[in-house]
Amino acid sequence: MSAATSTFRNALSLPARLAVVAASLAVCAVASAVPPGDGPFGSAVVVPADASMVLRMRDAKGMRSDALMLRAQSSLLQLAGSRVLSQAWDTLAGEMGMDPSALVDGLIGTDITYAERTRDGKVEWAAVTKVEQPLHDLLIAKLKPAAGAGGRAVFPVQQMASAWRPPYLVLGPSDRTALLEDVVARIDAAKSEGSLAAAADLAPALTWDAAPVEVIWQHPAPTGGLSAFSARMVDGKLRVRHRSRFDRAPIHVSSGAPADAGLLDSLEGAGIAALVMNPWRGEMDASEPVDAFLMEGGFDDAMRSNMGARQLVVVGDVALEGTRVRVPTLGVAFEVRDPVLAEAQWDGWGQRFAESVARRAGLPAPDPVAKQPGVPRVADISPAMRALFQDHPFVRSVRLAWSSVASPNGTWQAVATDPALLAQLAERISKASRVAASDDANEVGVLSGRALAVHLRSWTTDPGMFVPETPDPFVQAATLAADITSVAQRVRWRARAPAAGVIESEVVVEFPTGASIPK
Amino acid sequence: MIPDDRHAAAPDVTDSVMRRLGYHRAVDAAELRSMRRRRIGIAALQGTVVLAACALGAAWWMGQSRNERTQPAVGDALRGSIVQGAGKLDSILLGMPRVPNTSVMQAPEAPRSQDLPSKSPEPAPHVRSY
Repeated sequence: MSAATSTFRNALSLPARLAVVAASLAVCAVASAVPPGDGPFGSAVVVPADASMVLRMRDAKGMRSDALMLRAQSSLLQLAGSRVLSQAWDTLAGEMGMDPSALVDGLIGTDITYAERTRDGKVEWAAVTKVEQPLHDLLIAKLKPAAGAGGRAVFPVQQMASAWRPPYLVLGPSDRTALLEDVVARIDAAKSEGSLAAAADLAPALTWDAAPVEVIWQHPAPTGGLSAFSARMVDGKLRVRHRSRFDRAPIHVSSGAPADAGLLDSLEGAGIAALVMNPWRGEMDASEPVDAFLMEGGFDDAMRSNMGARQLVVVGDVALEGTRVRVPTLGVAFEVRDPVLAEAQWDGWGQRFAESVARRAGLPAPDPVAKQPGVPRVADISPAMRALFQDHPFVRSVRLAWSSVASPNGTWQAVATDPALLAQLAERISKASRVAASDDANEVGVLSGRALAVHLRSWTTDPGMFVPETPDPFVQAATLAADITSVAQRVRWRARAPAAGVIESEVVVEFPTGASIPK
Repeated sequence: MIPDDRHAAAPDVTDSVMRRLGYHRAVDAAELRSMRRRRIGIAALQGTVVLAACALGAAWWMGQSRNERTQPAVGDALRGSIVQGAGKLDSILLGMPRVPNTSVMQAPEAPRSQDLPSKSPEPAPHVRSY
């Protein structure tokens, strides 16, 4: 709080309160208030270009009462709720003589924009929210703010400052008002120069339809760039549209031919998640799990040159023997151009993988893997992996398996960390029919929220396996994650890479209904 | 003037008025001393009550002020709560596999002989784009 305002006591006299109201009204009278625009990402107009994140929510009140969102709300409250927040909000509602839920609806339920940025290591935030005049009057009457510089109202108890630009109330922390002042100045000046709306990376998203929830996120280095998300409920499903431009993309999406949606249909249900994409032909990234897995066996240029047009990745799971704990498995398959060459290449890759992990674990090189025509190769790498990963449950039963898959749907090389998953991949690839993805998507995927929730919850049956010392935080986190993922019965997405460093996607979240809600 | 003081100057009209108002004139010196002690005692009691009321008021006011100072800021509480909530999920990482002192994912790549193509490097028809 500034020195000027800190001298004001909370219990201001009636004349002082009237002065605050009068000052607010006077500012309104002379200023041409421009609220966040109604169009897509219209909130960016009132936010400076250096804001790190902007969230706009329209009709949060309606979303709160949406039956499909009730379960999601419960999970989100588990995630974001806290005793401190409850205390603060309940106290605020009590002081205003309102029901806490009614205060939520009145204060943030119509149209709110939240923005934040970091300066000198401190987070500044500001919120622009549409409120009814009576609620604003009640706010002033009950909370008795002090008069701050520039016609601001300062709420010492709540440690907030505000500016009233009917019907928008601009809020911010009273001890870091720079962003609040910036936003208010933009509203008053009615100009968008220097605002986030002028960012080139946001321009494509400005052509979308306005959505109830819109997010702009500027990524810090080294990722860099900007992501825009918009979310809406359509036919009982949550649809999220997204566009990112990265300096250094954290995930790969290859441009080229449309992904094979028919193959994805065939793979759905084979595990927790499946995705079908164009093979990545750019630089490999050891921090990316699939790349790291492939690089461990020496995935060289010759192997990449022999890749065809399609690649798939499946994340499965399997019960750990003698327990109820489920552990993840990974399967990857590439369509290949020269199947005979591919078999030789992947035999070499599998052998090198087994030797590499044994060498890292300080164990002798494993025996060469038996190679019989038409029979999947299997290397038991669990001794090395258990030594390397301190007997972690994820690697206790891992066996590297790979094979060629010759089918009417092309010739493939598949590799998995579990022979059963490898067999499933081969069967489902063979049965798939080829269908080009709509919208020229370069990657399509599906995730079963229910399967993931069951998987995560299984970890809590024997948490000592994962965290022998203090399992409680791990159990709480796994339970919370399971609760959240169980809300999404099924998640589908499709993505494309229209330009270098650019990824566009659409995610559709389907919710369970009625009796199908998992417990 | 002390009411009911018989050593005061000769009674006048004030005396009758004071009697009507309930004042009592001491009949002797002992009663006068007693009345003075009682009056001092009452004054002391009144002072104590006033001081106690002041102390209670000050305690209440300071208690209110202390509550105000420790009440969490609503906006920061909301933001902090969301950030902290996301942090709750980080505890899952406690149970994830870890490799001490090495990265298992970066194997040294030794030069090796290449497998030869089995036929023409032209792609088979089945791998062409749609």
